[in-house]
Amino acid sequence: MSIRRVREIVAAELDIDAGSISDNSSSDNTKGWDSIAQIGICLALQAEFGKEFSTEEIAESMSISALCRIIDRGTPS
Amino acid sequence: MKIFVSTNFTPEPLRRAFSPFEVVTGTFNDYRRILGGELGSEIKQCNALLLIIDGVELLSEVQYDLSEAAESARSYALSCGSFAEANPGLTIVATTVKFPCFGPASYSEVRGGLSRTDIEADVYNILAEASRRIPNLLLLDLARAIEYLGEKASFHVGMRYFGRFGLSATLLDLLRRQIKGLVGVPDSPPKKALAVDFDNTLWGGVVGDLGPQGIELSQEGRGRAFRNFQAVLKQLVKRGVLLVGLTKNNAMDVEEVFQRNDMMVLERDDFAVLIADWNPKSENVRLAAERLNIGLDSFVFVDDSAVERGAMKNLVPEVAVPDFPERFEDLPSWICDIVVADYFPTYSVTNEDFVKVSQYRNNAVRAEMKKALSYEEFLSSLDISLNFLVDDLDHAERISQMTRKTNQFNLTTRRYSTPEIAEMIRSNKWMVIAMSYADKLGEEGIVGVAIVDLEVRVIDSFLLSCRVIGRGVESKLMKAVFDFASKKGVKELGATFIPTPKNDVARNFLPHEGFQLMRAEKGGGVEIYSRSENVNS
Repeated sequence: MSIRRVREIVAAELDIDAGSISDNSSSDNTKGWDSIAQIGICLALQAEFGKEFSTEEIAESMSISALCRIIDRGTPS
Repeated sequence: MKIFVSTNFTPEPLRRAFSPFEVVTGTFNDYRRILGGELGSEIKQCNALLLIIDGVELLSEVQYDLSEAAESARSYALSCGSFAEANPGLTIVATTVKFPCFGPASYSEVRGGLSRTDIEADVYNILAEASRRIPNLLLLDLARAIEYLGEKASFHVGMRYFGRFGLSATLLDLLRRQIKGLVGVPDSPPKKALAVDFDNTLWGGVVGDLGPQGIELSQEGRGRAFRNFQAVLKQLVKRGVLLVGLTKNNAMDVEEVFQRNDMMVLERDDFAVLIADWNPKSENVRLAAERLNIGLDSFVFVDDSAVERGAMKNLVPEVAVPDFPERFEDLPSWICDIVVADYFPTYSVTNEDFVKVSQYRNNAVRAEMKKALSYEEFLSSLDISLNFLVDDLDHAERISQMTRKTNQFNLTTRRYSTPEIAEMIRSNKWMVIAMSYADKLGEEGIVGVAIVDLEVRVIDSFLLSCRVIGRGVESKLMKAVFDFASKKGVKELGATFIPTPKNDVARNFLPHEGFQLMRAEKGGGVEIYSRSENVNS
């Protein structure tokens, strides 16, 4: 899993420039990152990394760092 | 191409799911309101309305009560039909409904009088019946798609309880492919010809080494997978796909397989063109395209050899080259799941499709006759008979198909869906003429279409199947256009030629028919013409 790829996917789902998403981005500091956008993000991450999130994980991972943590947990490497 | 998607769950995440279509979504659970009401301005701006009903959400809404679920599902299916009938100009794509495999009543549903399967079948039957009757209603079998992937892979429970969105990325990708096939993508019309390799594709092994009886083709074992693959190809031929054989073999060996191996499902006559020699397949595919008079971008090439596939991709990039399955036993399902679904999708099969192969073969006979006679003698020896059908709703599907598939003899290359054609046929503003062709060798069905805008007095579309080009029938169709227009009080008609990389054959048609050039864009661009009725051409 690459953190850059996660940033790119989030940016694409939010329809914003990839450069405006950093490792510290979250729903608190990023415009448009609401629960509907979060579904789109999880769909795209599922397609990319094959990881299916639980309801709790989706709710708690509205930041780049949390998304990466959860994807890593699901991919044995 | 814009699609409005209405659902019984959160629709917004679908906005990116169905590329290349632009998706517009409404609000949560808005499908009943939409189906029960007038056509809103947001939907009016779209080419199609897609309704997706998630059976799990439907069950949850009625608290898992099956009688209520049955009522809700039935009302959905019935209103799809009535909505489609009330809005004939809009394509409606409606999904079937699939419930989970296990339910609270477990196995007692069968004897209890109402089962999930009953409800699913009811929805399917209502939608299928309506779709046969209403040209703008298309059924998308979501239930089968979920069966194909499996319930576990199709749904995403985490998202379902986070935001009422339960469809997985895998299911959405399959639906995206199916929607493309159903609705059609304007820039990539369905293919016409399937070019297949023989050794290790139609049968196991190499005929040159094993002999016509030694190749792997049998009632049991791996040979049965090849036989089933051939059986699918045979069905495709029956449905109008042009089968082309491209094999590096001695022609004699191949002929012997057809004559002597009784395990062959395909017959020699199933092939519209068969080339067995040692020339590069990239050259032979061009030869086949020429003989069939179709473009190279109408071809799909199937070959087990990665080298042959690579060469085709590089040397003839217009030809579509899907990956070949790794195991022979996957061939029968692969040809349906990937090749047919993505390259040869059809919702309706017209009569013209069913007889296509024999028509292409008759063309070869006509070509022989032409060699022996002068051109005029040849034409009169054919005993051509033409029939003109004006504003005939029964042929809307074939007319739409022709506007979507005809690239060569096509003055404007405007594509119209069946609902759009049906709308034109019903309207007084338009006149839609279809020309059917028969000669002593056989019937070709509808081979020419002209669409006239009677208000603006201009020929909007004029096209002719490449199968009949060069038999003088295009002039007969133009004459019919003026005859029928004049009956409606229109004596003078404008016409446009919009050049494309493919329609050069039609370039001089309008001046040849006595049209006067009014205006032309510089550098071989769009040409505007006009002609009054009493011109002799």
